[in-house]
Amino acid sequence: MDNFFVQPVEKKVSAVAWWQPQVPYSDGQLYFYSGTWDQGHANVLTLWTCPSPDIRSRQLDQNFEARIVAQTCHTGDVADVLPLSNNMCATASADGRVYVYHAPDTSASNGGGTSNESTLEKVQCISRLSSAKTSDIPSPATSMMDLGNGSPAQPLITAKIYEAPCTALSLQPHCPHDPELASVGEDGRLCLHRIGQSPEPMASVVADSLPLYDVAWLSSHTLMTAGRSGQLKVFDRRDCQQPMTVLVDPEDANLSVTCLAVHPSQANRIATGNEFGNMLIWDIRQLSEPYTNSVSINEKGFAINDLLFHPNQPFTVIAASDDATCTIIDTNACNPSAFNQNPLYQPTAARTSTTGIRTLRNLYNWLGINSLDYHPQANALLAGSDSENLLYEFE
Amino acid sequence: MGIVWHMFELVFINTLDGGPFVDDYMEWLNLNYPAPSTEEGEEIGLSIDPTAHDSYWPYIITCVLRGHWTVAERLLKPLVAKMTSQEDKLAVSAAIDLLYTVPRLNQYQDGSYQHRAQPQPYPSVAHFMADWQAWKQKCEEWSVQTFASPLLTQLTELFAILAGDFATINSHAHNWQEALGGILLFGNPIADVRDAASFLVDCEGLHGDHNGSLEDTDDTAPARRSHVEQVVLAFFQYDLGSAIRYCSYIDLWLATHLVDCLDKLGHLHEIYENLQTDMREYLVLAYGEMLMAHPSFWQVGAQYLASAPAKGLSLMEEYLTRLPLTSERKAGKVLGLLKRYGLIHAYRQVCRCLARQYLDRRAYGSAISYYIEAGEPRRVGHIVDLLLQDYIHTGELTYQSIIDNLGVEVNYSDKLQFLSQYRDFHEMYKQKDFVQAGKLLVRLLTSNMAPKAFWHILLVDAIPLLEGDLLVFDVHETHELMRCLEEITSSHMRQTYLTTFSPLWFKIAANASNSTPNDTAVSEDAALTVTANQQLDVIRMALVRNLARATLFQ
Repeated sequence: MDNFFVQPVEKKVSAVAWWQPQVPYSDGQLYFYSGTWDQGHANVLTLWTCPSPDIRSRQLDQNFEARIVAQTCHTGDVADVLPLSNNMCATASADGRVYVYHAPDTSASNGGGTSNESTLEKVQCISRLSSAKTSDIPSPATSMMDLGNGSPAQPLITAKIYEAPCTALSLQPHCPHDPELASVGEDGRLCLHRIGQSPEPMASVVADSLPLYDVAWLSSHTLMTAGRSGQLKVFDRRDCQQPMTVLVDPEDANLSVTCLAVHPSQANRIATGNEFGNMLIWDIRQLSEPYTNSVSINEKGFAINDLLFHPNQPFTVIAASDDATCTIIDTNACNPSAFNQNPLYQPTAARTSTTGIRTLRNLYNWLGINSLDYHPQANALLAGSDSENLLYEFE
Repeated sequence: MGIVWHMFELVFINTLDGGPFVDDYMEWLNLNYPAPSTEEGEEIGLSIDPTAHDSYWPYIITCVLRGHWTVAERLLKPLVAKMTSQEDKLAVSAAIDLLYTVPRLNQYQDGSYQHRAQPQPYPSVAHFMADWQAWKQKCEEWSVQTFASPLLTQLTELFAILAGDFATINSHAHNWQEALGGILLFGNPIADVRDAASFLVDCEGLHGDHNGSLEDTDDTAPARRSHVEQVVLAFFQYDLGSAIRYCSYIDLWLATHLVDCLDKLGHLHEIYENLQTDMREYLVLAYGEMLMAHPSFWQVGAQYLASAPAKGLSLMEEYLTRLPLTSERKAGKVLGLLKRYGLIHAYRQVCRCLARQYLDRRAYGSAISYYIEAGEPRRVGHIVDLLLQDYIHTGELTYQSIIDNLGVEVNYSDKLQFLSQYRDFHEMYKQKDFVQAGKLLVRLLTSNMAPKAFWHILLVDAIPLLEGDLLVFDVHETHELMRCLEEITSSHMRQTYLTTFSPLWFKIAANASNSTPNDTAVSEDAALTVTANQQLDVIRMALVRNLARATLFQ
């Protein structure tokens, strides 16, 4: 059992993401975004900076603390945050929209120790309801678009349109210019957006009749969704009307799949976490038996809220769960038969237990961890929790 | 709150072995009520003649009362040079020496308080007491001396303090805490916490008058004391009821956690017997409820409520079922909590609320899913009826994706299974697998899986199969279809069966045949029944023709 370093932030953290500026502000600084939830009208999106730990010792200074670079109020819970190119980031909001923000000017927020806080400028508000869909709704209304003045525009006709919360975002890979942004929501809708263009989705399909919790691009033209139905659906972005493939865990067919992650180099390998604390590795090339490795990361059945593949260790998955722990799973050690065909396979016994599972927790963080991210260059794990903490682990 | 916690730790946890209390007390005193100030010391030290400074003696005496003897020695040293007579010099040197050689039972870990002349602790209390009595004897001897120098007027009092004279200690102490420190240091250094409490009567700062009684002879004395002081005094007197009461004035969190710790240490049995109530439960519930009232502290509040064994879970149930559920994330967390604590009734209630929300938004898939979790087959059946109505009105199987996404949950109720199999019937029909489609249709009718109000729709669906080139239904199956037809047409609920699911085409036909503009609902139903009857006549004819063909084929 290892300990996280904890920094209290006084708001429940729902989403975190490391951000690597195209032009680094300074060498010794790391940057990340965090978003909050369950704060009523006081949710915020924050850009933080923290010193990179000593390369030799990898030890954190006792006075280690991330500092706020910029912050802005966020309409609705921040369900997901995704750094984009050109110093921008997108957020999935519980008010059903996708917001795009611009980070402050680098010269104004140099990480050298200035304490001036800037504001993240809202540059776009994207509705997940297309105008066609809006017109289907009996109540007359206009979509509430806002292009950068910082506050939501007032609708011309006030009407109650329910926009289901947006739950997750994913950015199209291998597309340096105008990548598409995929979003999913509790209405089971999968939307594709292009940043800086139309405030309406390019494509919007009902991918599931139950809420969707996560989305990820497998390649530049295929997407995968996961949700309450427990089904993993692969869509071709050129024809999103029907899924190409539907995968179900036969042992836990009724359990919601709460999160999914795609292997950074092998897009056919997927990791999913479910509401009962089971992590499953899939190989979607083998459609007859795609699930290869299942690990129960907690005995009491706490939900896995987020997970990712370790960017530098291809057989390691990191999962954050509602039992206030982050679990680092060496999938080789958990089930050697599954992956030990790999000629580079070396058990990382020095850092993992005999079962290949290492758990990170902290006494001062005893509510669920909602989100995590790993910085591949700094080898830094970042997480945010309901105990109103940011959590750090530098390997 | 830190002052209270620190004292609680000293009185109830650290002194379980009954050891001397003075070191712990002095640490508490100097940490929480620091004096004298460093700034004042620097001011005295940097003055041209420190010994002439107004605060010189008060500063030294405060240092002595607080155990900062190194500082006191350092300040006394310049005084030796200023003494003109040999006796006075000897007296000041003696004071410095006495401060340097104060016997201590235990090594004090803090460097400023550590006694340099005694590197090792005493092997026994008896050894220590012998040394201490000898040292005290010297102090008493010096305390009765008089000195010629006007600078040494306070030195006699310093010796009196070292000799453990309570009156002198009280006269120089700034508050009762400091006086108690002095009394413990120089009056009885081996006193345990209970003995220390007995010395409170000697602390004059606690009382309005100086009659030495701990009882409040001056009515205004308790009012002058802060709540924190009241709590500390209550700890000393083991008056836990008062301690908890004053803690609750400071902060409910403090009172709750204090009572929790006292309960775990087994100190609350007496209070429970006197009050006939579980004080821990009461305070934990009160604090938990306070947190539950906050919009974002409900998770922490629930944990507090869960730790109250008698009524906590039921209160938690009441609160969590009334939380506004604005997103799936929040709903998932609430359901997770309820499941973890085995509150199945509340779990189902929350699922029902969520299902209702989704139903209002016409998100039928999610509504069915949550109603299944809530164990509500009748409500699932109601949504299935809505989906069937939707199909009847639009002619499109809009519920296909719902059935696909529900997966194995379609087996939850007969109506869902019917919906699933009816979808399969249409799929087979689309793929021109008419025989299998026909057999499935007969199975849906004969197994009573289909609602009777939907039978006439199924029979209408059978018409193309009955009239097609291929013989789909054999004699037995045709007889079954005929039986179903007669069952609804000869029933006393015939009109209900024929009008509950009225297809769009029935209504168009009914409106066309109905010429009167001001029709009532009853007449509309009657018109629909007529239209349905006409349709059933078509079915009846098709069945008869199919029976003839099947008989011939057989």
